[in-house]
Order: sequence, then structure tokens, then C-alpha cells
Amino acid sequence: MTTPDTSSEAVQIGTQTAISFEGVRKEFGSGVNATLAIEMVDLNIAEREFVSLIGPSGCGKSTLLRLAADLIEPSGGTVVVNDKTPRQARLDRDYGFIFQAPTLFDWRTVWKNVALPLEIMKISGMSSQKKEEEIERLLSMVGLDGFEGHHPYQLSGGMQQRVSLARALVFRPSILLMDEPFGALDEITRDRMNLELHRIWEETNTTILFVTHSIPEAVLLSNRVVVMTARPGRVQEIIPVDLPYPRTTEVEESTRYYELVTQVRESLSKAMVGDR
Amino acid sequence: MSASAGPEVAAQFSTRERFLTEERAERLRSASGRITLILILVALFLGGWEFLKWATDAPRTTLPHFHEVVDYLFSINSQGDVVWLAIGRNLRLTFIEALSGLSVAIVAGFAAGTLMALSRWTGRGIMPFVIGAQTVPIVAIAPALVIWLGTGWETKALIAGFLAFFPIAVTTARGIGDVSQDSLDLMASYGASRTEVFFKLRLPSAMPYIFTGLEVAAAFSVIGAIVAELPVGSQDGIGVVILTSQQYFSLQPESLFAAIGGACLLGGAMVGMVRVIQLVVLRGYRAQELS
Repeated sequence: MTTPDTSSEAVQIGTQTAISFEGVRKEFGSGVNATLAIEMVDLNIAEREFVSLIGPSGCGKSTLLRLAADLIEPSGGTVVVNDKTPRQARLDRDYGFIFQAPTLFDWRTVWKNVALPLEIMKISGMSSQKKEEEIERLLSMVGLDGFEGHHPYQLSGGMQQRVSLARALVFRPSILLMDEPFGALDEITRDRMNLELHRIWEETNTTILFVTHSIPEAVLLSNRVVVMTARPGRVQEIIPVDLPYPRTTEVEESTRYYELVTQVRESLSKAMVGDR
Repeated sequence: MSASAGPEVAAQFSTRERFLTEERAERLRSASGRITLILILVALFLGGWEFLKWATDAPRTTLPHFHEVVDYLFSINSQGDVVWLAIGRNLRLTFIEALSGLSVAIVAGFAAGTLMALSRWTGRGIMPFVIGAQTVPIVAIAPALVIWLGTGWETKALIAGFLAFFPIAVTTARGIGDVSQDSLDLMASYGASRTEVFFKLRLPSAMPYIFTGLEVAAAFSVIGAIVAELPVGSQDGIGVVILTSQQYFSLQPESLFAAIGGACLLGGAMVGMVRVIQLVVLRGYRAQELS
């Protein structure tokens, strides 16, 4: 492993905005049953940035992610993704969405699960041979060569989530929206997945918006950590993370890392108090 | 979730081969186990039959020996036919009736189930008819249908299909409708069309459900065809054989048991056929979904 400082310049955050939320509000239900999930959310995520969303349960982290993905529509305010409406960005396949559950199709093999987006998108200028090479490359990148013919139920939870990661990367989206992707995994697998994800982020030019419950995970992975308040969700604080790259286990043992974890934890407990 | 997922990657590669052979061995074990189980059940059945006859001291006109039924199968009947061939001919007709009915039921049931799952308003319109159809006592209206539509095989196929329709429609509706929101969101994130969502997500995930319904429907179609043959006026079919055998029971008790055995065989064959198709179509699906 190289020393952190030498390769810190490898990661360049862009100046363009990839995702922006402006005065975004989202209400679920209507009338007396309406619940306000998020309110007055202003947030800009730059191209090539890795931003974590953290907050108490029900603070609308996932709501924010789904708004960017056009899986739900805002009740107020505007969401812009790659200078487009979220709908246009969705139809242009600008983002890949990774769910907490791997959401693989049981009847498809690992290979065919990863190929699914390509089947639907009919990407022009990509020969079937090139597609096959890409799937092969991604499967070996996530450490699953040899498992192409397996079905999802024959794999462990960690392996399944890696298939889902390969599936999200196969059409090379410029943005990854990740909703607690490793939340259901045991700690050791989770740590390894985090480092893998970070490596992928460094290697590709991807913007990542990452929802998590875990403070150490948020600090380890991100350029910035966005702390949100409980219902209705608002942005409590945005904490920049000035840790060197690559983020290895050595970084995890540094003093600065602990300071940042503490800072996020304090901010988070303030956010919880605001709930009372 | 196992906590021992430490050197997962390294371990996975080395265990892969073993993983596959173990799976194969497991499949063999379960196949030979199943055959043993069937043999035991057959032995129990025959033993129970003979024990019952011995214990109750039943005369031949109540319960003949099993071997007497077998002997009868190879005898010549009053028309000069070998009995088992004659029963086979009747079974073939009932089979064609049941299979035709089942085929129609598959098409109609699948269409109705899909509509019920996907279109709220059409679904609500169809639902009362599906439920209504199921509450109609088929045994009661079969004679009326035979009077209206004649005693041809088409009438019997219709009744068989009528019975088979319901399980297919219900399981299709359930299966097509039962997909997780995450899966739908995933397809949406790819900008998938409704047709793509149907063929790449809803239909394949519904297949295990549909086959469960199909198995029940296969058994129902045989019952429907036999019931449809019972009303007076039918000439052939295993239902007619059962009816005639019952009339001559005191003279030739073996014939009724032979006919019943034939009907059971037909039902079993129908269900077995569906199972074999299922094994082929659902290759690669999770094993417990196949049971």
C-alpha cells in the first residue's frame, strides 16, 4: 500500500454540479394523514464527489435519494440532476441505484443479472462482444469470477450485494445513488465492501450519493458528510472530510479520523435532540 | 448472516467446485429418497387393502382381492375386448377432454389473472365473475350443460376447463402482482417500459406461483371431465366406465376398482405431466419454490 499523501492528488473533485436540491419539500399522504418527510433541503453535490447522508431513522435520507432518482416526485422545490430534470436523467440512464437489499432476480444467473440493464437499455455503439467483456471485467473487479453461472440464492449476502454493485456499474452511469447498500452485512464484509467501493470510486469518474446509518462508514468514504435532522428532515450540518487518499485501514487509525467521527457524532446527537 | 465471513474471497474460490458437486449429490440423494418413499407407500397401500379385507372378512362383492382386480384387467369383457385395453381407450378420451379443457383454462386463466393484477378497473370487473364461477356447483349444472350443448367431447372439455380456470387465474394474479417495490424501482431506474417490466420481471417471478396453480388445475381438469361424463347420454370416457361398473357391481365388483384405479392413474399422469414441464421451465429457480 502506498503512503496516503503521494496519491492524494489522484482524486479530483469537479467544479460542475451533479445533483442539486433547492428548497426541496416532500410530503407523503394527504389531508390529516399527511406526513412531512423532508423540508427546506438545499444541497449541492459536485461532479466526482462522494457525499454521505446520515441521520436518525425517518429523517428522509432515502427520500432525498429517491427524489434524485425520480422514483418519487417532490411536493415543492426543485431537484436538478446533471443539469436536467430527474426524469430526463432517469430516462438518459445517468444514475445507477443500489438498494439496501441486493434486489437480484433469482431466476437469472449472476451473469444475466449483471447483463439486465444492458438488455433494457440497448446501448448504441456497444457490440455484444464488448458487453460480454465489460460484464467479465466488472465481475472480476468485484471478486466474483467463477460465479457467473450461479444463481443469487446460492451466494452469501455480501456476494449478492457485489453482484448488485457490478450491475449498477455495467452501463457506466455518471452518478451512483446508494441507499444503505451494506447495511445488512456483517461488519467484516461491510468493511471490505467499503474499501472496494472507495477503490471503484477512485478508479472511475463517478459521483456518489451514499445513505448510511454508520458514522465511521460515512467518514471513511466521503468528501463531505451531510447530517440530517429527524422528521421533518432538514440539513443540520455539512461536515467536510479532509482525510488523505487512498482511504485505507491506516487512515481509519489516524487521529484526524477519530476527530471527524466525534464531530459527526456530536452533530448527529444535536440533530436527535432537535427532534424532541 | 454468518459472522465468519473473514477471508471470504479466498475461501469462495476453493469451495466452488465442492459447492457444485455437493449440489449434484444432494439432488441424487433426494431423487433416490423419493423413489424409496413411493415404493414404501405402494407396499403400505397393498398391505392395507389386504389387511382390511382380512380384518373385516369382506366378501368379494364388497372388496375383492387386489390380485382379482389385476386378473380382471387381463380378462375379456362382454364386447370381446381385453379389459385393460378397453379402459385405456376410455381413459384416452377423458384425457383428451381434460387436456383440451386445461389448455383453454390456461389461456383464459392467465389472461384473466394478468388483467386482475395489472388493471385495477378491469380487474375489479372480472373478479366477481371469477369468484361467481367458482361458487357454481359444477356437479349440479353439468347435466344442464350436457342438455344444452350435447354429449360431445367439447362439452366435457368445457366443464373441465371451467374447473381448471380458477386456480390458474388466482395464482397468476397473485404472482404477477407480487413483485417488490425495489424490483419495480430498479426497472424504473433503467427507464424500462411496461412491456419490459412485464416480461423481464413480473412474468418470470410469477412462474413458480403459476405452476402451483397449474398443478391444482391439472387435477381439477380430470375431475371436471369425469363429472361431465356422468350424466346419462355419454357413450365413452372413464366416467361412463365408472357408472356402468357401479351398476354391475354385484356381478363384477373388480370392474369398479379397475375403473377407479384408471381414473386415479389419469389424474396422477396429468399432475405428473405438469411437474415435468415445471422442472424444465423452472430450471434455475430456487429449489424450495419447486418443492
